[in-house]
Amino acid sequence: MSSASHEENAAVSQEQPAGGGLTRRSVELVVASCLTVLAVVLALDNMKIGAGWGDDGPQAGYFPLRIAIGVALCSVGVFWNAFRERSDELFVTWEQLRRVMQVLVPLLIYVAAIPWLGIYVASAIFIACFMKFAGKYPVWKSVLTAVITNVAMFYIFEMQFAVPLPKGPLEAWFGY
Amino acid sequence: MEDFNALLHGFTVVLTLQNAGLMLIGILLGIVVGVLPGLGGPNGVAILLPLTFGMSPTSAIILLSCIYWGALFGGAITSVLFNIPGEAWSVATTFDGYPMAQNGQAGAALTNAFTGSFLGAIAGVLLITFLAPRVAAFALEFGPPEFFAVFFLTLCSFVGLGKEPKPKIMISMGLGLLLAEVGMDTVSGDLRMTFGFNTLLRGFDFLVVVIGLFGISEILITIEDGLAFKGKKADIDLKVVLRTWAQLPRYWMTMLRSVAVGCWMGVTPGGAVAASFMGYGLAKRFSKDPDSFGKGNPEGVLAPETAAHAAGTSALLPMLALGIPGSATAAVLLGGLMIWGLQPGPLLFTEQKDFVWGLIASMYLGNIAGLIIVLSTVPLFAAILKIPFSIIAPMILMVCAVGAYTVLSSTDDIWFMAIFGIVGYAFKKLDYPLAPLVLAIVLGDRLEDSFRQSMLTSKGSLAIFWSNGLCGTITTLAILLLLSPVFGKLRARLRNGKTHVATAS
Repeated sequence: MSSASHEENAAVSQEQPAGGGLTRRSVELVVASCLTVLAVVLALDNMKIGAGWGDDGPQAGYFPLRIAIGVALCSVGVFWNAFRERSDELFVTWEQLRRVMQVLVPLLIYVAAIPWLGIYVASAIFIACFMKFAGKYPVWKSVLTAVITNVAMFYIFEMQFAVPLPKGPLEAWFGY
Repeated sequence: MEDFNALLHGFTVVLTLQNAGLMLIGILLGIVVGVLPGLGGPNGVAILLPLTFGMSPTSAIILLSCIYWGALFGGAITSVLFNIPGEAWSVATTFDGYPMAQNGQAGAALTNAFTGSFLGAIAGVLLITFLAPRVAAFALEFGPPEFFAVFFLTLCSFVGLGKEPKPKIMISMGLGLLLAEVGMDTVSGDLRMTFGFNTLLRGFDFLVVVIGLFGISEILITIEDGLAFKGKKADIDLKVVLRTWAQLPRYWMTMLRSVAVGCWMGVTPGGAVAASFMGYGLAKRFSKDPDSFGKGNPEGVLAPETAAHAAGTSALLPMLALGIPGSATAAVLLGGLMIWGLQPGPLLFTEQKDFVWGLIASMYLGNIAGLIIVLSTVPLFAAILKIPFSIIAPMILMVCAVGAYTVLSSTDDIWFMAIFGIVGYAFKKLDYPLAPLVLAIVLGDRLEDSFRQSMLTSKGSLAIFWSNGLCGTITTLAILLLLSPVFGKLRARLRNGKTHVATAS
């Protein structure tokens, strides 16, 4: 899947050079920097709890510290490679990024809503809104699909498998 | 002979009504999982794993491994009909499968794909049946240094054999190991890398990581190209199937090569993805008519599918015999073993006979049943892909969220899932491989334990990893593989050519 999209990105970047999207190089640099910072922070934390040799063999931080240093070195290497490379290859076009955000932003709102509304109500709203706004379906179709799906989910998880999922005010109102 | 009796016993375990039923459900679910974007093999197994906590381990592994077979079959459907590889290992299948469908030969392409998968899988199972008990018996002698050496070899072979840039493979693996170590240290009781967050005390569960990395990220990548799928029609009937089968013997050499590559790549953790590309490459190189590849040559469908399935199946060999998974899905299954209370490793063969041989028997039956089911239900599953993505996408995301939650009944895990989804999206697009990360998370604890135990025995001297011939050979081999990028770089400087094949699983 990713190879196909890379080829496509390359094709797009040939047609419209700069300004068409995020370049692969810039994303590569950002990701490598984040990884370096993360690895250094983890390494420091492990040094704090003791990464040396205790009375009973290696201390708790011994192993993770060495791994973290390795990750940091490799991340610097990736950063350096990306830094040297001059290429206009695109990571995503703005249009693609807009589509990704169309899924990602609702997803994050959905995840944030689960502890408050319960997973069934949150899922129903998520599906209905997604169908209505992204899929341009009529309201009744969207709501119907969302409600049926979640009633089925409720039946399968709460009643058949007896696996309790997070529930909110609506389920409490029904006595669950 | 002893193995044969054990295998027969395995068949009696599987052929109870309940287990046979689970097998069918598993295959059907697996095909759905393989067909839908965002629900690949590893992710599908991860989501369903929590639902099996109440089952007996044997029933659970039958259900989950059948989902794995189903997913392997299902990946071919989307590759041929929609030019969308449902799984990374089906990418090579699209090269000739989709052109065949465009030429109106979708039925023949699918029959080739499924039959290739089936033969590959059976070859893999035969290998497991006869080799795994021997490997396990051999490994019974292993102590902590040997196990550490084998774990180390597993990780190093990713670096040595992976197609991605080497530093990225190592980063991915290192992150996996670090994630595995977050939380309370079981030996000292120290809190590691929790930064004061209470949710991190228990560490990251590999299932949540898998659901995010493989599931959410796949949805994000799929959505880039918009909400529409455009598929080819699939007409499969018995006549097409029989006609295609009649031509198969011609390609025996291609299949044999693919089986060999697949079994090798599956046992060494190079994975099904690399195997499918190699199978395709070999078929093309040895073909009398290499130019016809990419334009709808049935061999170009047969070769990668046979190799991918042989690899996908034999990836379970090291998992069963040594407790070391050969692929991301095998890693998830292995994690399942530990959750069901089984200790992975060579003892499995002596202490859990029902489980091991039940699983092996279900591999035979599952693949036979899978072939029949998938051949007869293609139109049905192709229809699933006709459901617009704007309906399917939120539902898949919901299923992922439910899967992440059920692991430990924690809503924080749903957040972690979303975060790992974004990480997976960036990693996939930047060619950071995900399989080593998952493997490292699953193996992390045991890798560290075996390291610590070895260090206790040797009082801190690394020489213990060369203390005997076996251990020394494995460790040396691992280090050679780890350093192979350096040799590779020298060679590349001589040849001055570079090719990167993106592999995502």
